[in-house]
Amino acid sequence: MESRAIRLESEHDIVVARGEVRAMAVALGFSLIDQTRLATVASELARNIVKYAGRGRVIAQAAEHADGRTGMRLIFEDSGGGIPNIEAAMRDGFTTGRGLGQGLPGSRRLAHEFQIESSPERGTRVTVVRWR
Amino acid sequence: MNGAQRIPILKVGRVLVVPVQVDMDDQTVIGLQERILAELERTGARGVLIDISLLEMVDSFIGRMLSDIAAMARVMDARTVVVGIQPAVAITLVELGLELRGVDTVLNVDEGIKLLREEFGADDDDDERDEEEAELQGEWHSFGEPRHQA
Amino acid sequence: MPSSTKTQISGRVVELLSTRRDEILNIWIKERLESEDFRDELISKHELRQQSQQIVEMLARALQESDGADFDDPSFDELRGFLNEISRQRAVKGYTPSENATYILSLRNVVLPTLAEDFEGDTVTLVGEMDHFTRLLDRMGLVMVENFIRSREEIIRQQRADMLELSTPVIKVWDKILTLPIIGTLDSRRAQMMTEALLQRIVDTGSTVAILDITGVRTMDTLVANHLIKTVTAARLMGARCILTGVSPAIAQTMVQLGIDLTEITTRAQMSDGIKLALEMIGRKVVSAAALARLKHGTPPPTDKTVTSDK
Repeated sequence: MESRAIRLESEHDIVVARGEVRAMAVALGFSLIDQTRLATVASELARNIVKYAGRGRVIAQAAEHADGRTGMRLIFEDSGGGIPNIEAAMRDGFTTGRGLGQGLPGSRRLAHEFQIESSPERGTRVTVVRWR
Repeated sequence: MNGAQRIPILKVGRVLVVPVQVDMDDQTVIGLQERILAELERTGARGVLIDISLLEMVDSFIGRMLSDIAAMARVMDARTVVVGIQPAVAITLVELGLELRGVDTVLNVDEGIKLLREEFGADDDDDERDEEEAELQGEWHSFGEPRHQA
Repeated sequence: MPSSTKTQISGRVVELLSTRRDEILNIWIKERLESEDFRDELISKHELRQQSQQIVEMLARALQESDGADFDDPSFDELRGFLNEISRQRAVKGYTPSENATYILSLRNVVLPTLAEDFEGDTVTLVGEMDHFTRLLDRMGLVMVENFIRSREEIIRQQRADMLELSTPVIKVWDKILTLPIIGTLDSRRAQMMTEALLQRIVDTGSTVAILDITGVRTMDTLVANHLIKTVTAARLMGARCILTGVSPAIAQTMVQLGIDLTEITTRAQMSDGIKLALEMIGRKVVSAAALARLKHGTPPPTDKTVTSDK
């Protein structure tokens, strides 16, 4: 249960990903609201991969903070063409596709830690952590 | 579309009632939106009541569908009410940055029907009276007012 | 045990602790009772004696079994566990940290002179034995201190959780109307608990109006204001409207200066006005009993100050 990878290749995988992430959040003892936050982050970022990169995966794992708190880390990886303008993508309401442009900035607000690396060669990797 | 994910649309009086009871994939969300609009046109319903009290999560995709349905239905002269958003879902939506502006939200189906009835008389059932009104009526009788005693 | 170091010991301390146990105990307890740290409201003399005796006995047993090994040796497990338990109890009872640590360390003051008495002449062995024993006592003192602090932190955490819960009372004042009096300083954690408590109560009671009263809020800043707005928005998404009451002139000023947009939030100066508005929002009105009576009897309202008596 420590770490689990979920492949993201179709729209159905988005549903699977948020379900698995919620189940893991439950197992890790997160409150109902935190479970909902994590499932929502999973849904948003998984959809980004399926929609823009076509395929990728999310790795869900238990995390431990230096101060002893436990948490959950989600790593979203794809080898698509990367995000050309990360700064713009992190702004509320910015979108290049069908959506409200809340995916990235919204996910950042739902997490305690948020990291994004992207390049045209290596694709995109978004890491989010939420502590209990 | 996956048949198992087909969400029922029920016509009750002049209202379309849509109980969403499963975690929808994006295709189901798009399909539902199209079917609701088609049903509005077919039936001439004046209200749409979407019950999402069983949904454990509403992301930006579903949020957008709710806003879109409300806006499109308004153009078709129908009012949309979203019922039963759970506390955890509400907090997450706000943090996500989705306030569902332009969408009427109510606590439960009762409140939804009440709201739609105020707007256009949601059904033809006017027997139902406010309980307190009835109580007051009772008191009236006990006062022995002749004009209410036929 | 590879990690523990062994000292060649003569077994004199062990012998001492068993043959002169009562004597050592008596001096130790007497010293504790006379020390400034001792507070008899926290522990009875009887209890102190029992605990102390158990420590001395466990220590003697562990010393014998460990055969000169240091405190990490498993032979000290029983003693370590007992010390943990005592220090936890002491943290709960409200001992001071120094009082807790001196208790164990003071055993040295009793044992060392007795040991010296017993060892006449043989200084090399005496020094070795004393050194070993002192090290053990230091470690025992550390165990007491560490666990004492850990227990205290746990107590503080628990109290903070209790306080958070107490500080967010959501009260149902009428069918479908809730009030949430916010008092004191709102930090992020408390604000979040408050929001969650309110939203859950909205579901549980089927309330459609919530009055957030901030009469008791001392300071308003962007963080607090944003939490209020977030709460109001989340409540609206669920189908409940919020009324903000008790906004003092100072807080109103601060909010405007901070550029906080409250145009979408219904506000009333007084809580009573808020309740009146809330009742109207659920289709109720507060009227005087006299007016209601006139309505029932179909009599027109009096046109002047003359009191019309029915019948």
